[in-house]
Amino acid sequence: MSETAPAPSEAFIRQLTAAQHGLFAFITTLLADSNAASDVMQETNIVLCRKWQEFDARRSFDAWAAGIARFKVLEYQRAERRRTRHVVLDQDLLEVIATEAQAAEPFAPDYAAALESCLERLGKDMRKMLGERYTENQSVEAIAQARGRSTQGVTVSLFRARRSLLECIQGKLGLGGNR
Amino acid sequence: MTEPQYNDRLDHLLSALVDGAVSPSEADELTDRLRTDASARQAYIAWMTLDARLRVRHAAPVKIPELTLPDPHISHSTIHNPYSTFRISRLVLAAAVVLAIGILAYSFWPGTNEQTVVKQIPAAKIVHLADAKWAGASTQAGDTLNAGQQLLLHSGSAEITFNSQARVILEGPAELTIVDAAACRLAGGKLVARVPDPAKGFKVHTPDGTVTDLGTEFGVYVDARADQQASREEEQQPSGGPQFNGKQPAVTEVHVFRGQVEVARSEVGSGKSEAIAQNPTSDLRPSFPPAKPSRSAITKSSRFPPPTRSSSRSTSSRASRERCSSRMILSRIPSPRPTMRSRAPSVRGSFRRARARDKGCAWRTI
Repeated sequence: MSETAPAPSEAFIRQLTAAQHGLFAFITTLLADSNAASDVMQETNIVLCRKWQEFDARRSFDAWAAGIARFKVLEYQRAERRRTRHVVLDQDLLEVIATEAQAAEPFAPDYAAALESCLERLGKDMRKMLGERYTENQSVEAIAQARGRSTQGVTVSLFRARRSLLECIQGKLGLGGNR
Repeated sequence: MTEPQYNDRLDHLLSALVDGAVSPSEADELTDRLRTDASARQAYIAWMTLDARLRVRHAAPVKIPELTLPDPHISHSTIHNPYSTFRISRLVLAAAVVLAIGILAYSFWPGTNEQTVVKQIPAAKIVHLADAKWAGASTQAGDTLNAGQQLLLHSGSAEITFNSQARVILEGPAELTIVDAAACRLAGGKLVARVPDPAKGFKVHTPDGTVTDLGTEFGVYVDARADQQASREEEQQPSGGPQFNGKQPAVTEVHVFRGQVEVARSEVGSGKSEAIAQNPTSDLRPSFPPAKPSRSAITKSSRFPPPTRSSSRSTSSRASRERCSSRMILSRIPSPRPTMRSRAPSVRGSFRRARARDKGCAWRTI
Protein backbone atom coordinates (compact mmCIF):
# COMPACT_ATOMS: atom_id res chain seq x y z
CA MET A 1 0.00 0.00 0.00
CA SER A 2 2.99 2.26 0.20
CA GLU A 3 2.50 3.27 -3.37
CA THR A 4 -1.04 4.49 -2.90
CA ALA A 5 -0.46 8.11 -2.02
CA PRO A 6 -3.71 9.94 -1.51
CA ALA A 7 -4.15 13.29 -3.13
CA PRO A 8 -3.51 16.34 -1.02
CA SER A 9 -6.55 17.48 0.88
CA GLU A 10 -8.39 20.63 0.03
CA ALA A 11 -7.25 22.14 3.32
CA PHE A 12 -3.67 21.40 2.45
CA ILE A 13 -3.93 22.93 -0.99
CA ARG A 14 -5.38 26.03 0.57
CA GLN A 15 -2.48 26.37 2.92
CA LEU A 16 -0.05 25.68 0.14
CA THR A 17 -1.66 28.31 -2.01
CA ALA A 18 -1.72 30.86 0.77
CA ALA A 19 1.95 30.27 1.45
CA GLN A 20 3.11 30.73 -2.13
CA HIS A 21 4.12 34.37 -2.01
CA GLY A 22 5.93 34.07 1.28
CA LEU A 23 7.67 30.97 0.09
CA PHE A 24 8.70 32.70 -3.09
CA ALA A 25 10.20 35.56 -1.10
CA PHE A 26 11.97 33.10 1.17
CA ILE A 27 13.47 31.19 -1.72
CA THR A 28 14.48 34.40 -3.43
CA THR A 29 16.31 35.39 -0.28
CA LEU A 30 18.20 32.13 -0.09
CA LEU A 31 19.08 32.16 -3.77
CA ALA A 32 19.84 35.85 -4.01
CA ASP A 33 17.96 35.77 -7.27
CA SER A 34 14.26 36.18 -7.85
CA ASN A 35 14.55 34.94 -11.41
CA ALA A 36 15.93 31.58 -10.40
CA ALA A 37 13.53 31.32 -7.49
CA SER A 38 10.65 30.12 -9.61
CA ASP A 39 12.48 26.93 -10.55
CA VAL A 40 13.17 26.05 -6.97
CA MET A 41 9.67 27.10 -6.06
CA GLN A 42 8.29 24.55 -8.44
CA GLU A 43 10.46 21.78 -7.06
CA THR A 44 9.51 22.76 -3.57
CA ASN A 45 5.81 22.67 -4.36
CA ILE A 46 6.13 19.22 -5.80
CA VAL A 47 7.81 17.92 -2.68
CA LEU A 48 5.29 19.65 -0.46
CA CYS A 49 2.46 17.98 -2.30
CA ARG A 50 4.17 14.64 -2.20
CA LYS A 51 4.78 14.88 1.52
CA TRP A 52 1.58 16.56 2.45
CA GLN A 53 0.60 13.85 4.91
CA GLU A 54 3.74 14.48 6.90
CA PHE A 55 2.60 17.97 7.69
CA ASP A 56 1.39 18.37 11.24
CA ALA A 57 -1.54 20.75 11.01
CA ARG A 58 -0.87 22.03 14.51
CA ARG A 59 2.44 23.43 13.43
CA SER A 60 3.31 26.34 11.19
CA PHE A 61 2.87 25.59 7.53
CA ASP A 62 5.38 28.29 6.62
CA ALA A 63 8.05 26.78 8.83
CA TRP A 64 7.47 23.33 7.41
CA ALA A 65 7.53 24.60 3.85
CA ALA A 66 10.61 26.70 4.56
CA GLY A 67 12.48 23.64 5.75
CA ILE A 68 11.80 21.85 2.50
CA ALA A 69 12.54 24.96 0.47
CA ARG A 70 15.90 25.30 2.18
CA PHE A 71 16.78 21.79 1.21
CA LYS A 72 15.70 22.40 -2.37
CA VAL A 73 17.80 25.52 -2.60
CA LEU A 74 20.88 23.59 -1.55
CA GLU A 75 20.04 20.94 -4.07
CA TYR A 76 19.62 23.56 -6.77
CA GLN A 77 22.92 25.19 -5.95
CA ARG A 78 24.71 21.90 -6.10
CA ALA A 79 23.12 21.02 -9.41
CA GLU A 80 23.39 24.36 -11.11
CA ARG A 81 26.61 25.92 -10.01
CA ARG A 82 25.46 28.77 -12.12
CA ARG A 83 26.56 32.07 -10.81
CA THR A 84 24.61 34.41 -12.96
CA ARG A 85 24.53 37.03 -10.30
CA HIS A 86 27.75 36.02 -8.69
CA VAL A 87 26.21 35.76 -5.29
CA VAL A 88 25.94 32.29 -3.90
CA LEU A 89 25.44 31.89 -0.22
CA ASP A 90 27.52 29.05 1.07
CA GLN A 91 25.80 26.49 3.20
CA ASP A 92 26.71 27.98 6.58
CA LEU A 93 25.62 31.44 5.60
CA LEU A 94 22.50 30.06 4.00
CA GLU A 95 21.52 28.33 7.23
CA VAL A 96 21.99 31.52 9.19
CA ILE A 97 20.02 33.60 6.74
CA ALA A 98 17.28 31.00 6.43
CA THR A 99 16.77 31.02 10.18
CA GLU A 100 16.75 34.79 10.35
CA ALA A 101 14.55 35.16 7.29
CA GLN A 102 11.86 32.92 8.71
CA ALA A 103 11.28 35.40 11.46
CA ALA A 104 11.47 38.41 9.18
CA GLU A 105 9.90 39.86 6.04
CA PRO A 106 9.43 36.87 3.75
CA PHE A 107 6.53 35.35 5.64
CA ALA A 108 5.12 38.55 7.13
CA PRO A 109 1.37 38.08 6.72
CA ASP A 110 0.57 41.71 5.96
CA TYR A 111 3.40 42.28 3.57
CA ALA A 112 1.29 42.48 0.44
CA ALA A 113 -1.05 45.03 1.96
CA ALA A 114 1.85 47.10 3.27
CA LEU A 115 3.53 47.02 -0.11
CA GLU A 116 0.35 48.11 -1.77
CA SER A 117 -0.18 51.14 0.39
CA CYS A 118 3.49 52.05 0.22
CA LEU A 119 3.42 51.90 -3.56
CA GLU A 120 0.63 54.45 -3.42
CA ARG A 121 3.00 56.88 -1.86
CA LEU A 122 5.48 56.67 -4.68
CA GLY A 123 5.35 59.10 -7.54
CA LYS A 124 3.53 58.01 -10.66
CA ASP A 125 6.66 57.81 -12.75
CA MET A 126 8.38 55.76 -10.10
CA ARG A 127 5.52 53.27 -10.09
CA LYS A 128 5.63 53.13 -13.83
CA MET A 129 9.31 52.38 -13.80
CA LEU A 130 8.84 49.58 -11.28
CA GLY A 131 6.12 48.24 -13.50
CA GLU A 132 8.48 48.13 -16.44
CA ARG A 133 11.17 46.49 -14.40
CA TYR A 134 8.91 43.83 -12.91
CA THR A 135 5.87 43.36 -15.11
CA GLU A 136 7.80 43.32 -18.31
CA ASN A 137 11.01 42.15 -16.70
CA GLN A 138 12.92 44.81 -18.57
CA SER A 139 16.55 45.36 -17.81
CA VAL A 140 17.67 48.61 -16.32
CA GLU A 141 19.46 49.34 -19.58
CA ALA A 142 16.29 48.86 -21.59
CA ILE A 143 14.31 51.12 -19.31
CA ALA A 144 16.99 53.76 -19.51
CA GLN A 145 17.19 53.54 -23.26
CA ALA A 146 13.45 53.85 -23.70
CA ARG A 147 13.45 56.97 -21.59
CA GLY A 148 16.56 58.47 -23.05
CA ARG A 149 18.19 58.39 -19.68
CA SER A 150 21.45 56.99 -18.46
CA THR A 151 21.60 53.53 -16.96
CA GLN A 152 23.11 55.04 -13.87
CA GLY A 153 20.24 57.49 -13.56
CA VAL A 154 17.63 54.75 -13.74
CA THR A 155 19.60 52.63 -11.30
CA VAL A 156 19.54 55.48 -8.83
CA SER A 157 15.83 56.06 -9.37
CA LEU A 158 15.04 52.43 -8.79
CA PHE A 159 17.26 52.42 -5.77
CA ARG A 160 15.42 55.37 -4.30
CA ALA A 161 12.07 53.80 -5.02
CA ARG A 162 13.06 50.58 -3.35
CA ARG A 163 14.58 52.22 -0.34
CA SER A 164 11.55 54.36 0.13
CA LEU A 165 9.35 51.26 -0.13
CA LEU A 166 11.51 49.38 2.35
CA GLU A 167 11.32 52.14 4.91
CA CYS A 168 7.61 52.47 4.46
CA ILE A 169 6.97 48.73 4.67
CA GLN A 170 9.18 48.19 7.65
CA GLY A 171 7.40 51.00 9.40
CA LYS A 172 4.06 49.38 8.72
CA LEU A 173 5.11 45.91 9.67
CA GLY A 174 7.09 46.91 12.71
CA LEU A 175 10.11 45.17 11.28
CA GLY A 176 13.53 46.56 10.69
CA GLY A 177 13.81 47.48 14.34
CA ASN A 178 16.26 46.20 16.86
CA ARG A 179 16.81 42.72 15.68
CA MET B 1 13.78 52.74 16.04
CA THR B 2 11.94 52.90 12.79
CA GLU B 3 14.75 54.10 10.55
CA PRO B 4 16.59 51.14 9.14
CA GLN B 5 20.31 51.36 9.52
CA TYR B 6 21.23 51.33 5.90
CA ASN B 7 24.74 51.77 5.02
CA ASP B 8 25.31 53.44 1.67
CA ARG B 9 27.80 50.93 0.44
CA LEU B 10 25.58 48.05 1.44
CA ASP B 11 22.64 49.69 -0.25
CA HIS B 12 24.66 50.00 -3.39
CA LEU B 13 25.57 46.31 -3.32
CA LEU B 14 22.01 45.22 -2.68
CA SER B 15 20.65 47.47 -5.36
CA ALA B 16 23.14 46.07 -7.86
CA LEU B 17 22.21 42.57 -6.79
CA VAL B 18 18.50 42.94 -7.44
CA ASP B 19 19.16 44.68 -10.72
CA GLY B 20 21.48 41.93 -11.84
CA ALA B 21 24.45 44.22 -12.05
CA VAL B 22 26.68 43.02 -9.29
CA SER B 23 30.28 42.34 -10.21
CA PRO B 24 32.16 39.28 -8.96
CA SER B 25 34.24 41.33 -6.57
CA GLU B 26 31.15 43.05 -5.27
CA ALA B 27 29.53 39.68 -4.79
CA ASP B 28 32.41 38.55 -2.63
CA GLU B 29 32.27 41.77 -0.73
CA LEU B 30 28.59 41.28 -0.08
CA THR B 31 28.86 37.70 1.10
CA ASP B 32 31.74 38.64 3.41
CA ARG B 33 29.63 41.35 4.82
CA LEU B 34 26.66 39.06 5.30
CA ARG B 35 28.80 36.54 7.08
CA THR B 36 29.93 38.95 9.72
CA ASP B 37 27.26 41.58 10.03
CA ALA B 38 23.81 40.76 11.36
CA SER B 39 22.35 44.12 10.38
CA ALA B 40 23.64 43.59 6.85
CA ARG B 41 21.78 40.28 6.76
CA GLN B 42 18.68 42.03 7.97
CA ALA B 43 18.96 44.54 5.16
CA TYR B 44 19.68 41.78 2.67
CA ILE B 45 16.59 39.84 3.69
CA ALA B 46 14.49 42.99 3.40
CA TRP B 47 15.81 43.76 -0.07
CA MET B 48 15.38 40.29 -1.43
CA THR B 49 11.88 40.05 -0.02
CA LEU B 50 10.96 43.34 -1.59
CA ASP B 51 12.36 42.19 -4.90
CA ALA B 52 10.34 38.97 -4.75
CA ARG B 53 7.17 40.70 -3.62
CA LEU B 54 7.43 43.35 -6.29
CA ARG B 55 7.69 40.60 -8.83
CA VAL B 56 4.58 38.98 -7.47
CA ARG B 57 2.80 42.29 -7.18
CA HIS B 58 3.44 43.26 -10.77
CA ALA B 59 2.02 40.10 -12.18
CA ALA B 60 -1.27 39.31 -13.83
CA PRO B 61 -4.51 39.41 -11.90
CA VAL B 62 -4.07 36.87 -9.22
CA LYS B 63 -6.42 34.00 -9.61
CA ILE B 64 -5.66 32.29 -6.38
CA PRO B 65 -9.08 32.69 -4.75
CA GLU B 66 -10.61 30.52 -7.42
CA LEU B 67 -8.78 27.51 -6.21
CA THR B 68 -10.03 27.94 -2.71
CA LEU B 69 -13.68 28.26 -3.60
CA PRO B 70 -15.52 25.51 -1.84
CA ASP B 71 -16.92 23.02 -4.25
CA PRO B 72 -20.37 21.89 -3.23
CA HIS B 73 -19.81 18.60 -4.93
CA ILE B 74 -16.88 17.75 -2.81
CA SER B 75 -17.39 16.13 0.50
CA HIS B 76 -14.51 15.80 2.83
CA SER B 77 -14.83 12.11 3.11
CA THR B 78 -14.20 11.99 -0.58
CA ILE B 79 -11.25 14.28 -0.51
CA HIS B 80 -9.34 12.20 1.94
CA ASN B 81 -10.23 9.01 0.29
CA PRO B 82 -7.21 7.16 -0.96
CA TYR B 83 -7.33 6.26 -4.57
CA SER B 84 -6.92 2.78 -5.67
CA THR B 85 -3.88 2.68 -7.81
CA PHE B 86 -0.53 4.26 -7.94
CA ARG B 87 -1.11 5.45 -11.42
CA ILE B 88 -4.24 7.28 -10.53
CA SER B 89 -2.92 8.73 -7.34
CA ARG B 90 -0.01 10.05 -9.29
CA LEU B 91 -2.38 11.60 -11.71
CA VAL B 92 -4.27 13.29 -8.95
CA LEU B 93 -1.10 14.37 -7.30
CA ALA B 94 0.14 15.75 -10.54
CA ALA B 95 -3.11 17.62 -10.89
CA ALA B 96 -2.76 19.20 -7.51
CA VAL B 97 0.83 20.08 -8.06
CA VAL B 98 0.32 21.45 -11.47
CA LEU B 99 -2.65 23.43 -10.30
CA ALA B 100 -0.70 24.99 -7.51
CA ILE B 101 2.25 25.71 -9.70
CA GLY B 102 0.17 26.78 -12.60
CA ILE B 103 -1.62 29.32 -10.53
CA LEU B 104 1.59 30.61 -9.19
CA ALA B 105 3.14 30.88 -12.57
CA TYR B 106 0.05 32.58 -13.81
CA SER B 107 0.22 35.13 -11.09
CA PHE B 108 3.83 35.86 -11.87
CA TRP B 109 4.02 35.85 -15.56
CA PRO B 110 1.20 37.43 -17.43
CA GLY B 111 0.85 36.97 -21.11
CA THR B 112 3.58 39.35 -22.02
CA ASN B 113 4.14 37.41 -25.17
CA GLU B 114 0.69 37.54 -26.63
CA GLN B 115 2.24 37.13 -30.04
CA THR B 116 0.34 37.13 -33.23
CA VAL B 117 -2.87 35.50 -32.29
CA VAL B 118 -5.17 35.45 -35.22
CA LYS B 119 -8.30 37.27 -34.25
CA GLN B 120 -10.60 34.40 -33.83
CA ILE B 121 -12.67 33.55 -30.85
CA PRO B 122 -10.53 33.25 -27.78
CA ALA B 123 -11.65 30.24 -25.81
CA ALA B 124 -8.87 29.34 -23.47
CA LYS B 125 -5.44 30.19 -22.33
CA ILE B 126 -2.29 28.30 -21.58
CA VAL B 127 -1.46 29.14 -18.04
CA HIS B 128 1.42 26.87 -17.38
CA LEU B 129 3.79 24.52 -19.10
CA ALA B 130 5.95 21.93 -17.46
CA ASP B 131 8.69 20.58 -19.68
CA ALA B 132 6.28 20.88 -22.54
CA LYS B 133 7.50 19.98 -25.97
CA TRP B 134 5.16 20.60 -28.81
CA ALA B 135 4.84 18.34 -31.76
CA GLY B 136 2.99 20.96 -33.72
CA ALA B 137 2.82 24.70 -33.37
CA SER B 138 4.54 25.78 -30.23
CA THR B 139 2.63 27.70 -27.62
CA GLN B 140 3.83 29.40 -24.53
CA ALA B 141 2.44 30.09 -21.12
CA GLY B 142 0.12 33.04 -21.38
CA ASP B 143 -0.87 32.32 -24.93
CA THR B 144 -4.49 32.62 -25.81
CA LEU B 145 -6.09 29.66 -27.50
CA ASN B 146 -8.82 30.20 -29.99
CA ALA B 147 -11.78 28.03 -30.71
CA GLY B 148 -10.73 25.32 -33.10
CA GLN B 149 -7.09 25.53 -32.21
CA GLN B 150 -5.26 22.28 -31.95
CA LEU B 151 -2.56 21.39 -29.47
CA LEU B 152 -0.12 18.62 -30.13
CA LEU B 153 1.77 18.02 -26.97
CA HIS B 154 4.70 15.76 -27.46
CA SER B 155 5.76 15.49 -23.85
CA GLY B 156 5.53 17.31 -20.57
CA SER B 157 2.32 18.86 -19.43
CA ALA B 158 0.29 21.93 -20.14
CA GLU B 159 -2.29 23.60 -18.00
CA ILE B 160 -5.08 25.27 -19.84
CA THR B 161 -7.73 27.47 -18.38
CA PHE B 162 -10.84 27.68 -20.46
CA ASN B 163 -12.80 30.88 -20.50
CA SER B 164 -15.58 29.02 -18.77
CA GLN B 165 -13.11 28.64 -15.89
CA ALA B 166 -12.64 24.95 -16.39
CA ARG B 167 -9.04 23.95 -15.91
CA VAL B 168 -7.45 21.19 -17.84
CA ILE B 169 -4.07 19.66 -17.39
CA LEU B 170 -2.91 17.91 -20.47
CA GLU B 171 -0.22 15.34 -20.20
CA GLY B 172 1.86 14.59 -23.24
CA PRO B 173 1.86 12.92 -25.59
CA ALA B 174 -1.59 14.15 -26.29
CA GLU B 175 -3.65 15.77 -28.92
CA LEU B 176 -6.28 18.25 -27.88
CA THR B 177 -8.49 20.54 -29.85
CA ILE B 178 -10.09 23.53 -28.22
CA VAL B 179 -13.71 23.41 -29.31
CA ASP B 180 -14.90 26.46 -27.47
CA ALA B 181 -14.74 27.99 -24.02
CA ALA B 182 -16.56 25.04 -22.56
CA ALA B 183 -15.47 22.07 -24.59
CA CYS B 184 -12.44 20.33 -25.95
CA ARG B 185 -11.73 17.26 -27.94
CA LEU B 186 -9.17 14.74 -26.84
CA ALA B 187 -8.02 12.59 -29.72
CA GLY B 188 -5.36 10.86 -27.76
CA GLY B 189 -3.58 11.17 -24.47
CA LYS B 190 -4.50 12.03 -20.99
CA LEU B 191 -6.04 14.98 -19.31
CA VAL B 192 -7.28 15.93 -15.90
CA ALA B 193 -10.05 18.46 -15.67
CA ARG B 194 -11.06 20.44 -12.70
CA VAL B 195 -14.32 22.13 -13.22
CA PRO B 196 -15.60 24.74 -10.80
CA ASP B 197 -19.31 25.34 -10.48
CA PRO B 198 -19.62 28.13 -13.04
CA ALA B 199 -18.12 25.89 -15.68
CA LYS B 200 -20.46 22.99 -15.06
CA GLY B 201 -21.29 21.27 -18.29
CA PHE B 202 -17.75 21.37 -19.57
CA LYS B 203 -17.34 18.70 -22.22
CA VAL B 204 -14.52 16.49 -23.27
CA HIS B 205 -15.16 14.82 -26.58
CA THR B 206 -13.25 11.70 -27.31
CA PRO B 207 -13.31 9.46 -30.33
CA ASP B 208 -15.57 7.16 -28.37
CA GLY B 209 -17.95 9.52 -26.77
CA THR B 210 -18.40 12.65 -24.78
CA VAL B 211 -17.78 13.27 -21.14
CA THR B 212 -19.85 16.07 -19.72
CA ASP B 213 -18.87 17.44 -16.41
CA LEU B 214 -21.41 17.97 -13.69
CA GLY B 215 -19.15 19.76 -11.28
CA THR B 216 -16.10 17.62 -10.78
CA GLU B 217 -12.55 16.76 -11.11
CA PHE B 218 -12.06 14.01 -13.57
CA GLY B 219 -9.55 12.50 -15.86
CA VAL B 220 -9.93 11.24 -19.39
CA TYR B 221 -7.55 8.93 -21.04
CA VAL B 222 -7.71 8.07 -24.69
CA ASP B 223 -5.45 5.29 -25.69
CA ALA B 224 -4.27 6.39 -29.04
CA ARG B 225 -1.14 4.36 -29.14
CA ALA B 226 -1.68 0.79 -28.22
CA ASP B 227 1.79 -0.20 -29.24
CA GLN B 228 3.39 2.08 -26.71
CA GLN B 229 0.79 1.16 -24.22
CA ALA B 230 1.79 -2.44 -24.51
CA SER B 231 5.33 -1.71 -23.56
CA ARG B 232 4.24 0.27 -20.56
CA GLU B 233 1.77 -2.13 -19.13
CA GLU B 234 2.99 -5.36 -17.81
CA GLU B 235 -0.38 -6.95 -17.75
CA GLN B 236 -0.90 -6.23 -21.37
CA GLN B 237 -1.06 -9.37 -23.34
CA PRO B 238 0.79 -9.54 -26.59
CA SER B 239 -2.09 -9.77 -28.94
CA GLY B 240 -5.78 -10.08 -29.14
CA GLY B 241 -6.02 -7.94 -26.08
CA PRO B 242 -7.11 -9.01 -22.69
CA GLN B 243 -10.79 -8.73 -22.35
CA PHE B 244 -12.32 -6.74 -19.63
CA ASN B 245 -14.80 -9.01 -17.91
CA GLY B 246 -15.03 -10.84 -21.11
CA LYS B 247 -16.30 -7.77 -22.84
CA GLN B 248 -14.80 -5.90 -25.64
CA PRO B 249 -11.81 -3.80 -24.81
CA ALA B 250 -12.07 -0.11 -24.20
CA VAL B 251 -9.91 2.66 -25.39
CA THR B 252 -11.31 5.60 -23.54
CA GLU B 253 -11.26 5.76 -19.81
CA VAL B 254 -12.90 8.25 -17.55
CA HIS B 255 -11.76 8.61 -13.98
CA VAL B 256 -13.96 10.63 -11.74
CA PHE B 257 -11.96 11.88 -8.84
CA ARG B 258 -14.83 13.73 -7.28
CA GLY B 259 -18.31 14.73 -8.16
CA GLN B 260 -19.96 13.26 -11.18
CA VAL B 261 -19.86 13.34 -14.89
CA GLU B 262 -22.15 12.31 -17.61
CA VAL B 263 -20.77 10.08 -20.27
CA ALA B 264 -22.37 9.82 -23.66
CA ARG B 265 -21.10 7.08 -25.82
CA SER B 266 -21.10 7.23 -29.54
CA GLU B 267 -23.49 4.70 -30.92
CA VAL B 268 -21.93 1.59 -32.31
CA GLY B 269 -20.86 2.14 -35.82
CA SER B 270 -23.19 5.06 -36.24
CA GLY B 271 -20.53 7.61 -36.89
CA LYS B 272 -23.18 10.15 -36.23
CA SER B 273 -21.38 12.18 -33.71
CA GLU B 274 -20.40 15.35 -35.47
CA ALA B 275 -17.72 15.93 -32.93
CA ILE B 276 -16.10 12.76 -34.01
CA ALA B 277 -16.85 12.96 -37.64
CA GLN B 278 -15.29 16.35 -37.90
CA ASN B 279 -12.26 15.41 -36.00
CA PRO B 280 -9.47 16.67 -38.22
CA THR B 281 -6.81 14.71 -36.51
CA SER B 282 -6.33 12.08 -39.11
CA ASP B 283 -4.80 14.65 -41.37
CA LEU B 284 -2.86 16.59 -38.86
CA ARG B 285 -1.67 13.96 -36.52
CA PRO B 286 2.07 14.02 -36.39
CA SER B 287 3.85 10.93 -35.43
CA PHE B 288 3.88 10.82 -31.72
CA PRO B 289 7.30 9.37 -31.45
CA PRO B 290 8.15 6.63 -31.03
CA ALA B 291 4.97 5.32 -32.54
CA LYS B 292 5.47 2.73 -35.15
CA PRO B 293 4.16 3.86 -38.48
CA SER B 294 2.10 0.79 -39.08
CA ARG B 295 0.23 1.31 -35.87
CA SER B 296 0.21 5.02 -35.55
CA ALA B 297 -3.49 5.30 -36.05
CA ILE B 298 -5.64 5.49 -33.04
CA THR B 299 -6.30 2.06 -31.79
CA LYS B 300 -9.85 1.14 -31.34
CA SER B 301 -12.04 -1.64 -30.50
CA SER B 302 -13.26 -2.78 -33.82
CA ARG B 303 -16.78 -2.09 -32.78
CA PHE B 304 -16.05 1.58 -32.40
CA PRO B 305 -14.26 2.59 -35.48
CA PRO B 306 -13.22 6.17 -35.76
CA PRO B 307 -15.52 7.53 -38.39
CA THR B 308 -12.97 9.52 -40.26
CA ARG B 309 -10.13 7.11 -40.26
CA SER B 310 -9.50 4.39 -42.67
CA SER B 311 -5.90 3.70 -41.94
CA SER B 312 -4.71 0.48 -40.50
CA ARG B 313 -6.08 -0.18 -37.12
CA SER B 314 -5.03 -2.46 -34.44
CA THR B 315 -7.56 -4.15 -32.31
CA SER B 316 -5.35 -4.73 -29.39
CA SER B 317 -6.60 -3.09 -26.30
CA ARG B 318 -5.95 -2.18 -22.80
CA ALA B 319 -6.25 -4.47 -19.92
CA SER B 320 -8.17 -3.58 -16.84
CA ARG B 321 -5.24 -2.51 -14.83
CA GLU B 322 -6.81 -0.52 -12.09
CA ARG B 323 -7.87 -2.67 -9.27
CA CYS B 324 -11.00 -1.27 -7.89
CA SER B 325 -10.73 -0.94 -4.18
CA SER B 326 -11.56 2.60 -3.38
CA ARG B 327 -14.51 4.79 -3.88
CA MET B 328 -13.27 6.07 -7.10
CA ILE B 329 -15.45 5.56 -10.10
CA LEU B 330 -13.97 4.19 -13.20
CA SER B 331 -16.05 4.28 -16.26
CA ARG B 332 -15.09 2.72 -19.46
CA ILE B 333 -16.94 4.28 -22.22
CA PRO B 334 -17.21 1.65 -24.87
CA SER B 335 -18.93 -1.45 -23.68
CA PRO B 336 -21.53 -3.61 -25.25
CA ARG B 337 -24.64 -2.72 -23.40
CA PRO B 338 -26.06 -0.01 -21.25
CA THR B 339 -26.24 -1.13 -17.69
CA MET B 340 -27.04 2.16 -16.16
CA ARG B 341 -30.12 4.15 -16.47
CA SER B 342 -30.64 5.40 -19.90
CA ARG B 343 -31.49 8.92 -20.62
CA ALA B 344 -33.03 10.72 -23.46
CA PRO B 345 -30.91 10.76 -26.53
CA SER B 346 -28.66 13.72 -26.75
CA VAL B 347 -28.80 16.32 -29.40
CA ARG B 348 -26.35 14.33 -31.37
CA GLY B 349 -28.78 11.51 -31.67
CA SER B 350 -27.82 8.03 -30.93
CA PHE B 351 -25.96 8.40 -27.74
CA ARG B 352 -26.49 6.50 -24.64
CA ARG B 353 -25.86 8.27 -21.48
CA ALA B 354 -25.02 7.26 -18.03
CA ARG B 355 -23.87 8.90 -14.92
CA ALA B 356 -20.90 7.94 -12.96
CA ARG B 357 -21.58 8.81 -9.41
CA ASP B 358 -19.17 9.24 -6.65
CA LYS B 359 -20.52 6.27 -4.80
CA GLY B 360 -18.63 3.15 -4.15
CA CYS B 361 -16.20 1.65 -6.51
CA ALA B 362 -17.47 0.05 -9.59
CA TRP B 363 -16.57 -0.61 -13.09
CA ARG B 364 -19.50 1.03 -14.57
CA THR B 365 -20.18 0.33 -18.10
CA ILE B 366 -22.58 2.07 -20.30
